[in-house]
Amino acid sequence: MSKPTQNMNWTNRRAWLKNATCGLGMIALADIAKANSVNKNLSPLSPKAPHHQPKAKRVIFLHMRGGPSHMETFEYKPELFARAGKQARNKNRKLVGNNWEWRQRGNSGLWVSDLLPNLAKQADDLCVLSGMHTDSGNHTPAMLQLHTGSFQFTRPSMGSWILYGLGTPNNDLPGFVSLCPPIINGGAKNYGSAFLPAVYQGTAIGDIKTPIAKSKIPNLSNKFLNRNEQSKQLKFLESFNQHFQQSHPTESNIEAIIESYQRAFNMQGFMPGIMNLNSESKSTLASYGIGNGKPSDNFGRQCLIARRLIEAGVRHVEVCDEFWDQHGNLKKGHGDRAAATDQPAAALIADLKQRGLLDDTLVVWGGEFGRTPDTQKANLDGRDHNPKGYTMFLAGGGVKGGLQYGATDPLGYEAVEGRVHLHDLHATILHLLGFNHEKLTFRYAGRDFRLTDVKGNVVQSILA
Amino acid sequence: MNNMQKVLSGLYTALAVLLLCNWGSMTGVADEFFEKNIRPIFVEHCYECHSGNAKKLKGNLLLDSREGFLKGGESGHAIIPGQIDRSLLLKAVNYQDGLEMPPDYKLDEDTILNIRKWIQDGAKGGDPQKNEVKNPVPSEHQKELWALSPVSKVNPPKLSQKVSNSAAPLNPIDAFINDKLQKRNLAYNKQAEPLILLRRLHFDLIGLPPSPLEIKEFISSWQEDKNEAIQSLISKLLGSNDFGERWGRHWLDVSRYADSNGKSRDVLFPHAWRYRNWVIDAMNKDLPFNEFIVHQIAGDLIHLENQQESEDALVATGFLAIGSKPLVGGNLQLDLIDDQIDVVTRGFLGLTVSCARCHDHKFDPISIEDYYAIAGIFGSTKTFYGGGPNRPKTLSQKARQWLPLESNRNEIIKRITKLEKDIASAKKKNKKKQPEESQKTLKLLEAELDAIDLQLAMAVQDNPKPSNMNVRIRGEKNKKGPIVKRGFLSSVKFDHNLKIQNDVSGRMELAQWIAHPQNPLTFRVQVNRIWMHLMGRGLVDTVDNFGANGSQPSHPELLDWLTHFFIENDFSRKRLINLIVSSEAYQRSSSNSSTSTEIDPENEFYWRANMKQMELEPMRDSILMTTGLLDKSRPKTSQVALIGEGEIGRGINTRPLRERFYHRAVYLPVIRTSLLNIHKTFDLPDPSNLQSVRNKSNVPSQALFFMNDPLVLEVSSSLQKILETEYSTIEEMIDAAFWRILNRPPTSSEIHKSMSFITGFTNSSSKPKAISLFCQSLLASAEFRFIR
Repeated sequence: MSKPTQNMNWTNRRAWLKNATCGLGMIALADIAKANSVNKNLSPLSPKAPHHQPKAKRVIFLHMRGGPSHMETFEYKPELFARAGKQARNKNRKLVGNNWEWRQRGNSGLWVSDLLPNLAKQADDLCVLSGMHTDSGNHTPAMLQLHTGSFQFTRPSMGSWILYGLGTPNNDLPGFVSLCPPIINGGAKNYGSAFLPAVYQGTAIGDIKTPIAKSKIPNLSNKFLNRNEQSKQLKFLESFNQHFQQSHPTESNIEAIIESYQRAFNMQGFMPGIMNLNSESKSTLASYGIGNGKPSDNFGRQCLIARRLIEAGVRHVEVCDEFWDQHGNLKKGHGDRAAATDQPAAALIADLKQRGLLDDTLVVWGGEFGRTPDTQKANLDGRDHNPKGYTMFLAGGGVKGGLQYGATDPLGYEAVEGRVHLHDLHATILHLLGFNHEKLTFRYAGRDFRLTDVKGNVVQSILA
Repeated sequence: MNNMQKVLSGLYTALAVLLLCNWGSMTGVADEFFEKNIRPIFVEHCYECHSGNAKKLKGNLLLDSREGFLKGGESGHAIIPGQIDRSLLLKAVNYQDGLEMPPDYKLDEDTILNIRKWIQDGAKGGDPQKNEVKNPVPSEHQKELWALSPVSKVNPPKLSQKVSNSAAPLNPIDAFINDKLQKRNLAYNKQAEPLILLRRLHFDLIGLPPSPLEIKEFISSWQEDKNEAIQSLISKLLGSNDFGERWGRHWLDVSRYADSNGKSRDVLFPHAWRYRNWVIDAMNKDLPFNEFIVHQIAGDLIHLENQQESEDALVATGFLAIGSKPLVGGNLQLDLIDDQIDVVTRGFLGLTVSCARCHDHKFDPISIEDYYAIAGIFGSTKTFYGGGPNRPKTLSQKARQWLPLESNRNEIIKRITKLEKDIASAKKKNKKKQPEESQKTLKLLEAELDAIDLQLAMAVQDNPKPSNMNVRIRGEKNKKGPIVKRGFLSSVKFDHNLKIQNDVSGRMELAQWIAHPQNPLTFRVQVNRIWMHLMGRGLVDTVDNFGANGSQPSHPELLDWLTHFFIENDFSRKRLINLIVSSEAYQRSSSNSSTSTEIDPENEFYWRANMKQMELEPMRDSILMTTGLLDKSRPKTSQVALIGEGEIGRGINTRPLRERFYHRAVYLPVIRTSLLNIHKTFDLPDPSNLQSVRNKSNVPSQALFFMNDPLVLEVSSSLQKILETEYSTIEEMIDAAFWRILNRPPTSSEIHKSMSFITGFTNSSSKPKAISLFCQSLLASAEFRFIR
C-alpha cells in the first residue's frame, strides 16, 4: 500500500485531540460546561466503545444481489430433488430438481454443492443460516429491508448505524464504504444515513454498472496540481483557518473543517493506494480470481479492496455482485454468478484467516431473499422469489464455524427450524459488534429509532 | 469528603458528562426500557397495593410515579438508582432479608433480572407525580402539552436598566431577551461591525453575498445614518425576488420537495417544478401564512374568480402529491395517506401524528382514532402523481395521471382521447386504401393534437364519494377496527365552528382548522422556524416536534408574543422577519466574551449572535456569484422536465441532470435515489422526510469539493482572469479577491501572507496559476462558509 508522502508533516491534529481528551479531567474540575464544549471538538467519527466487549470490530458484507437459491448452494434437499418435475404445492407449478452434485465438506461435514467448490473448502469457517426469512418478495423492498431494516420508510443503513455506534480509528478514510452499489432497488438509500448525521453515510465507490477498476470517488484528484503544490496551498489555507478559529474559539465546526481538509488530503493519498492492487503479489491476485477477462475479476478486485479497506480501519464494507435472479436459465445464471463470486469470496475468508483478521472481522454473505423450490417453466430451469425461507452465511467475527443452523421444510418452501428473520440477523450482527441492538438508538421526529425497529432477537445458538 | 475524594468525584462527574455527550442519544432509551419491561411488572404485580388507585395503600409505598419509588415507603428507599445492594425493592422481589413481595408468589427469574438491570442502569423512567409536573397546564389531562395551551397575551417586560443608546424605541424582542440577560447578569455584545452585519443580512434574507458596489453604497449610507442604512437595506432585501429563492428553499425542506418519487421505483416527477415555483412566488408575494396553509392543503377547493389565481392554488396542492411513495411492495393507498398526514401535521402543527398509525401515540395525546379521522379526509382525496411504474405514454394518459390546470380539463381530455382514436384509425386506413387522402387527414389530426399544450401539475382533487375510514388495528390494512368520523385532532381544542359535512372530503375544513387564528400550534411552530433561520436556533429547539418529546421553549413569553404579532400582522412572514432582523439581539456581534461564555457557553440567552454555517444553496450560489457566473434568471421548467416521463436506472437520458447549471441552487434537480454530489456532500436533508433543520457536517468529501471540484476550479480560474484584467498589482488583486469572496478588506498580515503565498508559488509555476490557487483558498476557507 502506498504510504502518505512527506508533504504531510502538518501539525498532528489527532495528537492534539488526544491531549485534549486526556486533559479533560483537569478542565472539568475547573468548569464542566467548558469541558462540554471541548468535547464537542471531537469528531463524531472518533472511535467509541460499544455496550459490551465485542467479538467483531468490522463487517464485510458480500451482497449476492437478486436472491441466490438455497437449494443450489447450502441446503441439500434430497426429498425435493427426488420429486423433480412433480406437481408443486400450486398445481400450476412443478418442483425443480437437482442441478449440482452435493458433498459434505471439511471436518464439520457441512453440505455445500459443487456450485461453490471454493467456498466449500472454507466450510469449517462458515456459519450457514438456513432458516432465514424476510417480509417482501420484491427486489427493492427486500433489498431496502436487508440494508436498513425497513422498506416502508427511509431509515439509516446498517453500515451507518455501525459507524454511528463505533466511529472509526482511521482518520484518513471514510468509515463505511459501499463498493459498486446498485443504482436502482433503493439506490443510495441502501448505504444512506437517513436521519442520522450525514457524516455516517456510506461512501460509494463506483456503481453496479461500472467495474470497480474504473470507479472513482468524486473529486479525489486534481489534474492541475501536483501533491506538493496542493500541500502548499492547503498549508496556506490552514494558516488562514486557524486564524479564523482563534477569533471564534467556541465554534467547534471550524476545527472540524480544518480536520476535514487534513482527512481529505490524506484520503487523496491513501485511497488511490488502496484501490490500486499493483502492490499485491501475483499469487494473491490469482487466489482472488483477479485477471483480465476472468469472470471473477471484478468481484475479486472488490473483495481484495474490501480487505485492504478493513485493514486500514474501515468499519463496514459492502461489495456487490449482480444478479442472482434466475426465473429462467437457472443453471447457466447461477453458474455464472458462482464463477464470478465463489473464488473471490473463498479467497477473502482464507486471506483474512491467514492474516489473523477473521477472528474479529465478520463476513456476511447473502441476497435479499432466496428462491422457490418450484417453477412455472416447462423446462424446469428456473426458480422464483422466495422470502419465506432462504440461506445466508456468516464467517469469523465470533460465530461458530462449520455449522448449519436452521432449515427449510423438506421441499425448501419455508424456514421451519432455526428461523432467523432479517431483524434477528441485524440484532445478531450488532450483538457481535458489542451492541445491545435495543440500545443503539437515535432520536428523530420525537422518538428513538433503531436498526431493528421494535423487533429482533439475537440468535444465541450461533455465537462462538 | 477529603480533597482526593473531591477531585475524584469531580473527575467522575466530568467523565459522566463526557459519556453522556458522546452517547447522549443512545442513553435516551432507558425510559423505553422502563415502559417495555418495568412498568408492566409494576402494573400487574404491585399496583394493587402500591399505587394512587390502590384500594388501600400498603406500607406507604407508591410505585406509580418516579417520586414514589425513589422516595420509598415505611421501610426506606425502595430504589436507589445504580445501587442494587441498597434497593429494598430488589431484595423484596428476591425474597431476601425477610422481605417478600409480591406476598403471594415470587416473580419469575427473568422478571427479577429485568428489575435488577433497570436499577443497575440508573432506574430511569417513570411518571412524575401529578403535582410535580413542571409546566402546569389548565387541562386535567396528565399528558396535555404546553404547546396546546392557548397562545397567551403577554406584554414585553419593562426593563430595569436602559438597554440601548439609540433614541429609537426598544424593539419588543429586546425587551424579552434583555430582561433575561439582565436577570442573569449576562453582559451582551455590541452591534456587529457594518460589514459583518451587511453580509449577515444578505445571506439570511436572500442567500447571496453583497456585491462590491453594494458594499460601497451600504458603507457610505451607514456613515450618514446607520439606522436608516440598516432599515433601507432590510426593505431592499425583503423586496427583492432573491428573497423567495432563499426562503422558499426553507419551506421546500419542510415540504420534502423532490423531482422524483424515490424508493424502489424512482419515477420522475417532470411537473413538480410548478409547486417549487409556487412556493418561491408565495414567499415573494408574502402570501399570508394562513392562506399559504389553505392553498397547500385545499387549494383545489378555493373558489377564485381569476383563472391564474385558481390555477396557482391548484398547483399549491402539489404539497400533498410530491411525497415519496412505495409504488410497489408497500401498501400504496395507506402509505400515501400516511405521508400526507405526516407532512401536514409535522409541517404545520409540529406534531408527529403519523406515530398513531398503529397504536395510540406513546407520548402525545393523539389516539389511533385521531389518526384515522384525518386519514379519512385524505382517503377521500385523489392524488395525482403521475402513472407510477406504468408511465403514461399518450397525451390522454398523461392528462389523466397528472392534473391539467385548465378549468375545462374534462372536455379537453375527451377531445384528446377522441383525437388519439381518430389518429389511430387514420393510421390503420393509411395502410389500406386511399393513402393520399387519409395521409392528409392524419396530418391534420396530428397537428391538432400537437397544438394542445396542456399545463400538467401534481395536485389533488376530492373523491366524488367521500367516506370515513376504519381504524386499522396495528396499522394492518386488512385488520379493520371501528369506523371513525372524519375530523381533527381531539386534543387540540379551541373555539371554532368547523364541521365536516358528509358530502365533502373535509380537506378544506382541516386546512381552515389548522389555519385558524386560535389554533395554538400552527403559528407558534411557524414563528419558531423563522426565528431559527435567523437566530441560528429555535426558541423551541426541536423545531419539528412540539410534542411531549420535544423541548420546552427557552423564552415562552417571547414565543407567544411573536406568535401574536404574527397573527395580528396579517400572518405576514416578511413583517415578522423584518421585526426580528431589526432587533439588537439579531444585530449583535457573534464574537466571544470570556465572562459571558463562562455563564452561558451555549448562548442560550442570546448574549451574542450565533454564527451560522451556510447551507449548500447560498454557499454554492455565492461561489458562482464571486465571478458573476451565477444566472439569476429562473429556468423555464426543471432539468427533470427536460427529460420528461421516465424512471431512474431504466434507460432514460440523464444528461440534463449532469449538465453545467448556473441558475440558483434552489432550481437544481432533486432525484431522491441519486442526489447530486453537491446535495449529498453538503447535507441536503433526505428529501423523502420532512426536516426543517439542516445537519451541519464537516466531512472530507466537502473538503475534496473545495480542493478539486470542477465548479470550484472553474470559478477560481475565472476569478483570476477577472482580477488580472482589472488590476495591475498583486496587492490590488488580493484586495479585490477579499472583497468579492469574504466581503471585507484583507488585514495587513493577510496581505503579507497572501503575497508570500503567491510569489512563493510563482517561482515554480505560472503567476495565473498562483493567483487562481489563492482565490480557491479563499473560497475553501472556513470563513467563507460561515455567516458571522
